[in-house]
Amino acid sequence: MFSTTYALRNLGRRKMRTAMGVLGVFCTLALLTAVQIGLDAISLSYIDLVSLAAGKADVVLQADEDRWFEGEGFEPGPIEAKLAGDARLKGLAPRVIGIAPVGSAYAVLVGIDPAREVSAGVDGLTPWPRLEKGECALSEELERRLKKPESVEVRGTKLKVSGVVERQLVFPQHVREFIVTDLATAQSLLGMGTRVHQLAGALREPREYYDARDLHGSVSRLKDAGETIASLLGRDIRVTLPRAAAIAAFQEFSAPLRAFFGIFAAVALAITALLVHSIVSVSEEERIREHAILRTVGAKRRHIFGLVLTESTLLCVLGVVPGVFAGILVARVALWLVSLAMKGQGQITVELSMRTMFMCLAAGAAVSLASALLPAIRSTKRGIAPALDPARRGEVIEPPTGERGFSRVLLFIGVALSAISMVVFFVLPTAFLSGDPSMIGAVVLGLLVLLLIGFTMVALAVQPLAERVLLRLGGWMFGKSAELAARNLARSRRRSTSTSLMFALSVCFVLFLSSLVALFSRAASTFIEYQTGAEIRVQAHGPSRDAGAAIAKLDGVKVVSEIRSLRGRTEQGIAFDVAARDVVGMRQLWIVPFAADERLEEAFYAGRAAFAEGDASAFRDLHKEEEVPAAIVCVAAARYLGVAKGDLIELWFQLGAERHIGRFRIAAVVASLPGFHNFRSREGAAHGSGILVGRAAWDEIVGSAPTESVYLVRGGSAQSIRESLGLRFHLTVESTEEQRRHSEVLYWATQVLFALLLCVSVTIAVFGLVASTASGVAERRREIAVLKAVGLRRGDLMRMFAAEAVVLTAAAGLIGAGIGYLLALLFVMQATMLMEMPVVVVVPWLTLGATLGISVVAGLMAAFIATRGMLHKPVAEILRG
Amino acid sequence: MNDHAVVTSNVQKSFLLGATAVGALRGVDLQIPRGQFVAIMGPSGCGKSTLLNLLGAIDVPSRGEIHIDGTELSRLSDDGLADLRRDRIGYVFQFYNLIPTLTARENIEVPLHFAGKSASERRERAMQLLERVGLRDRADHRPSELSGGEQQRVAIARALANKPTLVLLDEPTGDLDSTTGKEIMTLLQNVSVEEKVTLVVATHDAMVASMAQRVVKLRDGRIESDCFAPGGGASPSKDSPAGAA
Repeated sequence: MFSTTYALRNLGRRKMRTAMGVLGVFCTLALLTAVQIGLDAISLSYIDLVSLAAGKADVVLQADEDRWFEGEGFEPGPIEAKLAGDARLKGLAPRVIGIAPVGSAYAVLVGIDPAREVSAGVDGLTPWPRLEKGECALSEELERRLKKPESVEVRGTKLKVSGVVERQLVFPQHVREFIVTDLATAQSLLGMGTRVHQLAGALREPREYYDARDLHGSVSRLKDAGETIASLLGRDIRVTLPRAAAIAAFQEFSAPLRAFFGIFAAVALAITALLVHSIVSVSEEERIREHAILRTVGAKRRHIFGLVLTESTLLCVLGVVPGVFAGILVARVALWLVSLAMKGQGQITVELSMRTMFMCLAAGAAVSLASALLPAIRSTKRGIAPALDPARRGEVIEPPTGERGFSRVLLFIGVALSAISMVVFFVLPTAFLSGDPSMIGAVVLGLLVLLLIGFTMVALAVQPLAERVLLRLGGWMFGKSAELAARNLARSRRRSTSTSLMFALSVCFVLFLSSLVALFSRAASTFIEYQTGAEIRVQAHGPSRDAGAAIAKLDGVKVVSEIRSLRGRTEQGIAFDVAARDVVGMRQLWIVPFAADERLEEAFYAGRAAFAEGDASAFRDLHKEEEVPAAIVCVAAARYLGVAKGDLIELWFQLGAERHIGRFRIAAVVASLPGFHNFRSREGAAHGSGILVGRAAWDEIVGSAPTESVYLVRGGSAQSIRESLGLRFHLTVESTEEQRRHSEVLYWATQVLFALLLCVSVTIAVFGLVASTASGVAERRREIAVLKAVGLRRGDLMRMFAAEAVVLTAAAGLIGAGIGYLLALLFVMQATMLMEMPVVVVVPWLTLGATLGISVVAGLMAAFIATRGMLHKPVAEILRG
Repeated sequence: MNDHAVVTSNVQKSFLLGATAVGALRGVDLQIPRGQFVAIMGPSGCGKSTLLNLLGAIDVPSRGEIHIDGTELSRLSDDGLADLRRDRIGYVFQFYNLIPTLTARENIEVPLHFAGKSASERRERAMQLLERVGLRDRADHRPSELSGGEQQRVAIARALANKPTLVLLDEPTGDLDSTTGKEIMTLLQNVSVEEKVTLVVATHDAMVASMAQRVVKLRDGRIESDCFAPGGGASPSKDSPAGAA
C-alpha cells in the first residue's frame, strides 16, 4: 500500500511528465490492439469472405484432363454411386459449364439442377433464378450488353430470359458474362449427352474443418478429406478444394502481414519502452535523496527496487488499460466502416478474444517491467551517504573497469551480436537449401536486425558530433544561447541519449518502410515492364491459331507479335525435352526455347533488353534466311556452355523417341529480355533458361509438337481484348498500364499509411521528449534562476532550451532517417539483385522533409511546453522551488 | 562492550571525489555508554557528519571497527544493516529530509511500515509520537505546509518510531532560529531521558553542546578532546510537553 501511495503521489507531482508517459503508452496500446483485433476479425471472417473468391463448394470433382470452361466431362452416375454413403458430404450437385455464343457475344453457359444445388448446399446464385424448361437467367453484365433482351438464342435454341443473376459463387469471379439454364438444356446445347463437367459438394459439418483461428489446421483437415475422396474415385477424377486453396493462399498472404505487424508491434513497443525508461530514469534521478532517506529509516535495497518498478507499472497501467479499450473501440469503428464499404458482400465479424486482450495487456506489462529494470537496478546501487550529500555525488563508488576485469557493456553487446549471428549462421544453409520463403525471410530479417543494431551503435556514437555540426551550421539562429545549449547537451549526455535513441528509432522505422515502398515502387515499375514485356501481354491457354489475327483487328491495336513456346506434353502424354549443347558436346543444359516473329522488335519493350554482347539488330538477324539461323541466348546459358556471340550451338529437341537437332549461330547474348522471365544472368540459374530463335527455324525443327502462344501487343486496350476475345480463345490479358496504376494506388495507399505511422511514432517520441525536457528544466531550476539573476533574458533562456531540444531532435531525426533509408536501400538492392533487375535509387524526399520538419517542430514544442511556466516566474520564486 | 551503545576502534574513512582522495576520519576511538547524550563538535570538514554516517550504518569505514549495541557492523549483510537502521537507530538530519509527498503522519509511519507493523499499529504509534512532539493537529499536513521547527519535530518523531536505542542527529538546529533550536533540543533531551535513548549530536552550536553530558571535539579527522560537560543534565525541562505533564 505504501509503495502504491508513494508511487501515485510521485506521478502526481510531475503531472506533465506523467501525462506524456501515459499518453505515449495509451497511443501505442490503442494502435496495437486495434490492428490485432482487425487482423483477428479478418481471419475470422475470411472463412465467409473466401466464398466470394472460391465459390460455395467445398469439394469440386472434375475429369482429370478437363480445365475451366472446356473439357469432355464425365458420367456422374458411377461417381455419385461411390460417394453415396459418404458422411462427410451433404450431397453432390451436377454442373455443366462451357462457353457458347450468346447473341453477339460469347458467354459462359452454366447448367445446374436447382433442387440438387440447394440440397447439396452449393446454391451460389443470387438471386436464385427460376429455371423452367426453355428458360434462362443472365448475368447483369450480359443482360446489359444484350440490352435487356426478353429472350436469347444459344446455338440455335431460343431461351426465354426469366431472371437476372447479380452474384455468383460457382466459378471464378472475373467471369462477369454468363447464362444459367437447367442441366438438361445446357447438356443439350453443349452436346454433352448425359455427361457433366463438375460435381460440386459442400461439407455436412463445416465447423469440424474450418477454424478461423487455426487456418493451417483447417487447410490440413480439408486436404485430408479431399485426399480420402480422391483415393475412392481413382485417377480419372480430379478432386479440387477451392475454398481450402483460397484459405492457403490467404495464409501465404497473411503470414507476412502478421510478421510485418509483429515487427511493427515490436518496434512500437520498443519506442514506448524507451519513453517509459526515459521517464522512470529521470524520476529515479530526482529521488536519489528520497531513496537514501528511506534506506536510513530501514528500507532495504529491494524495497527501493520495488518502489521504482511500482511507479513504472502504475504509469503503464494508466496507459495500457484505457489504451486497450480505446483500441477495441477504434477497431469496431474501423471494421464497421469496412463492412459498409463492402456493400453487403460479406460481413466482418468482430469477436473480442481473451487471448488478444491478454496479449495486449501482457505487452503493456512487459514494457513497464523491461523499461524500468535498469533505473530500478541503478537505484539500488547507490551508497546512502553519497546519495544524501550532494557534495559526495561525484564519489567513485565502483572500481574502474580494469580492476573489475571486464566491461559489462561490451559483454552485453558481444553476446547479443554473437547470439543473433549464431542463429543466422545455423539457419542460413538450411533456409537456402530448403528454398522455404518464410525461412529465407527470417534469415534476411535477422541480418537486417544485426545491421540495425550496428548502425544504431554507430549512430549513438556519432550523435554528439552531429549535434555539434548542427549547432555550428544553425547555431546563429539561437544567438548567444547556442553556446550554452552546446554545453548543456554535453552535460546531460546520458539522459539525452535515451531520448535521442527513441526519436531516432521512430524516424528510422518509418523512413525504412517509406523508403522501401518508394524504392520498390520504382523498381516495381521496371519490374512490371520486364514481366509483361509489352503494353499488353496476352497468354493463350489453349489452341489459339486465330487469336493473333483476331487481336490485330481490334480498335487501336497497332502491332501484335506472337511468341511461341512448347507445351510440356503432347495430348497423348508424351513428354519432350530441349537441350542446348556446344558443338563439341562438352557441355549441355536443359533449355526453354521461344520462337519470335518479325514483329517482336516493334511490339515489345526492345529498349529494355540488356545486351551483354551484340545489339538490337540481332532481332532482325533471327529472321534472315541463312544456312545457320541466328539465335539469342541469355548470359546464364552462354556462360554455362562457354560460348559467345558468333559461336555455334545446337538445340536437341527430344520428342518421345524422335529427336530433332538444330544448329544456330549466336547473334547476341542478353542479360535480360522483357517479357521472357527466364533470360537470366547467373550461371547457377542456367538450367531452364531461355533461348530465342526465328519462327522459320522453329517450324522446321519443332514440327508437330504442341505449342503455346503469348501475344505481345502495342496499342489497343486490354479491357476490350478481354471482353471480346477472352472467353472465346481462353486468354489471360495483362496490361502494363493497368498494373502500373494498381502499383501507383498501392504506393500512395502505403504512403498514407506510413504518414500515419510516422505521426503516431513521432508523437510517442515527442511525449518522451517533452517529459525529458520538462524534467531537465525542473532539475535546472536553480541554474535558470542564477542565469536570470545575472542578466540572461527570458527570450535567451527560451532560445537556449529550444536550441538544445531542436538540435537533439534534428540530429536524432537525421541519423534515424539515414539509417532507415540505408537499410531500405540494402534490402532493395538485395531483392533486385536476386530478380536480376537494375536498382533505381530514389529518395522519398517528401517523407524525409516531413520527418525533418516534424523533428524541428517537436523540439520547439518540447522546449516551449517545458519552459513556459518556469521562465515567467521571478528569480526568488524559482529558487524557493 | 554490551554496556556501551557505541564503540569505535581506529575508525578511518576516506573517499575519492573525482581524482581527489579525501581523508575524512583518520583513526577515531570512541565509546559511548547507553543513555548518554554526546555532542560531537568541530570546525567544518573535521569529519563530524562522516562519523555520524558511520555510526548510523549509512556509510562504510575504510578501516576500523564499529560496534552498535554490541553488534559489529562489518559482519552484517546489507539487509542486516537495514534492519539495524530500522530497529535500533534513528537519524535526524540538518535539513529534516522528510518525504515531500507524504504527510507528517505518513512520514512517521514509513519506518513502521518497513518494520512490518499493521496499518492500525502504525497509525496509533504515529499519532502518539505526534502528540509527544506537539503536532497532533498537523498530522495531515505535508512538509511544505510546516515550518522548519515543525518539520524537525516530525523528523524527530520519525527517528523515534521504532523505539531505537541510538538516535543520531546531524546539526539538528542548523537550519532553525535560536528559539526554535532550543525548543527542539529541550524536546530531545526529555525524550532521551524518558525513552532511555543514547543521543549523539553533531553540532557547531554551543547551546546544543551545553545541553550534552559529554562533548567530543574533532579536528582533522581525529578526536582532539573528549570531556564531560560540567552542566550537562538529563532532567526534563518544565517547558517541554512531557515536563508539563
